[in-house]
Parts: sequence; C-alpha cells; structure tokens
Amino acid sequence: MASTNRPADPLAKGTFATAKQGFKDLFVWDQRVVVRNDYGEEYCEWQRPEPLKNPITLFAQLRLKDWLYFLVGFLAWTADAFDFHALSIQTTKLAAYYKTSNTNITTAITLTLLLRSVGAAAFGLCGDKFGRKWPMVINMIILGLLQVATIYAATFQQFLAVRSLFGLFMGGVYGNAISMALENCPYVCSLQDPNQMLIVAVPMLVV
Amino acid sequence: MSGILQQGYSFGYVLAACANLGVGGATNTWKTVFWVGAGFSIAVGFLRVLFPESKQFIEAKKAGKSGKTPGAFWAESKVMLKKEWRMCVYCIFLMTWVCII
Repeated sequence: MASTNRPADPLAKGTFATAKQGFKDLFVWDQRVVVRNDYGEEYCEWQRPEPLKNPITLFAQLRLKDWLYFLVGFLAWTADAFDFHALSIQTTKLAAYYKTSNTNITTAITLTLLLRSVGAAAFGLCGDKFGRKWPMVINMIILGLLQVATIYAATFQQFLAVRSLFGLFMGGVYGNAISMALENCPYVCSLQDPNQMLIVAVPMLVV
Repeated sequence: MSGILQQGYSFGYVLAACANLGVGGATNTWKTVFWVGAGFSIAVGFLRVLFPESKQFIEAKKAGKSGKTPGAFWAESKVMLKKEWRMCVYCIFLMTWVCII
C-alpha cells in the first residue's frame, strides 16, 4: 500500500550529522520514520505521532489480575532498591560499627554496582531458559538471605564480600520484575525492537 | 506503565530512608533496617510463588525457542555494540548525568 505520508530526507550519516538532524527533528511534531517497502527498499517519511490518550482510559483497560502482577513486579523492584539503599543511607552507622571511614564503607556500594551488571546478564539468560517465575523466586529469597548475611558479617572483609555477592543478585531482579509487571499490560508502550532494548540495557547496566 | 514501575526504585529508597529515620541514629540500629529489607525481599519471593509462569514464556517455549545460549547473546551484543557504540556511549553519559543529579 502506497503511503500518503510526506517523504522525508534520509537519515544522516556520521555522528555529528546524526546529532544535528536529531536536534532539528526535535522541533518538528511529525516523526521521521524509516519505512521498508515490499521490495526491501528503505526510505524515510514523516509520520504523525499517535494522538495522546487519556491515561485513565488506559489504566481502565487493565484488569484486576493485571494490576496484581504489576504490583508484585513493582514490589520486587522496590525491595531490591530498599536492600541496596539500606546500606547507602546508613553508611555513617556502618562506619562506626566496623570502625572505619565512610569512604571505606562506600567501597561496598562500588562493588555491589560493579557486579550488578553481571547479575543482570546471568539472570536475564536464566529468565529466558528456565522461565520468569522460579529464577525470580530464588533471586528474591537469596537477596533476602544475603541481607541477613550482611548482618552477621563479622569483619569488614566479609562485609565487602557479602555486598559483592549481593550486587550479583540485585542486578538479577529488575529483568524478571519488569517482565512480570509489564507482560500482562494490554497497551504496550515500551520498546519493541530487541536492538533498541539492548541499546537501553547496556548503559543501564553500566550506570 | 514502565515509567511507574521505574519509580519502584525511588519508592524503595524512600522506604529505606523512612526505616532509617524510624530506627534512630544508634550504631547497632542498622541491623534492624537490614532485617526489614531481608524480610521484605523474602516475602516478595514467596509472593511470586503464588503467581503462574509468564504466558509469553510458555508460548515461546512451545514454539521451540528454548532460550538463547550465552554465546548467542554475546554475539548479538557484539553486533549491536559495533553498530551502535556511539549511541551507547551517549546513553552512558546521559544516565550518569541523570544519576548524579
């Protein structure tokens, strides 16, 4: 079917040209979209973005069960953050407890965050292989147990080791939590292209 | 919805801050907050048991997709990084900047 949309000039090549084009496009309401026709030829055209919908109407499309799924995914992510920030917000107390400086305590945060990306990749693959349910159950329980292990860490070295392990499991939560929360949403307004997902995932892991 | 979900992280921070305020400033009180966190996580773990496996996953399994091997995952990541490394670097700086604020 021939499109009636206005043709657009093709995507710019090169870093600066892309940045320039992207910046200019910010001021145009229509979106530059790459379209592929039946012959495999690609060209750009301007498409009018879908009109904004009333969020309350969208919320109403979710059934009670969908909300419950969402809530559990949300809570998993919240618990994850709670466990992490339980440390970062209490650095002063921990420094007094282990008789060391605040800076030394924050080494634990660094270690946690470093291993978080490793955990995310590992549990992401587990989620694809063994399903979303049991990896997430095991993940959350071990996360809790590591939190208990932190309490019983006798020396500062043990404390750091436990927090590194904690990072591994902390990273795993998000992937399975979002899949649980969002897989049942009828209106999917998230990124669909796996390539785009990866582009977003890498910086998230690094930061 | 994913935007609301993202706020779960901030919500967790707020709860941790409340717990921290709740237990006071004595040195050994940090353990209480950690106990609360442990209980919270384990509770959510058990809560998850009550819900079935994701439909999408079961369908994918039926369709014969038994999940990616780590090798395939890395191969795909490499292709993506090669093609979109500039975008990745940009996003890393963007996220870092956002997190610092």
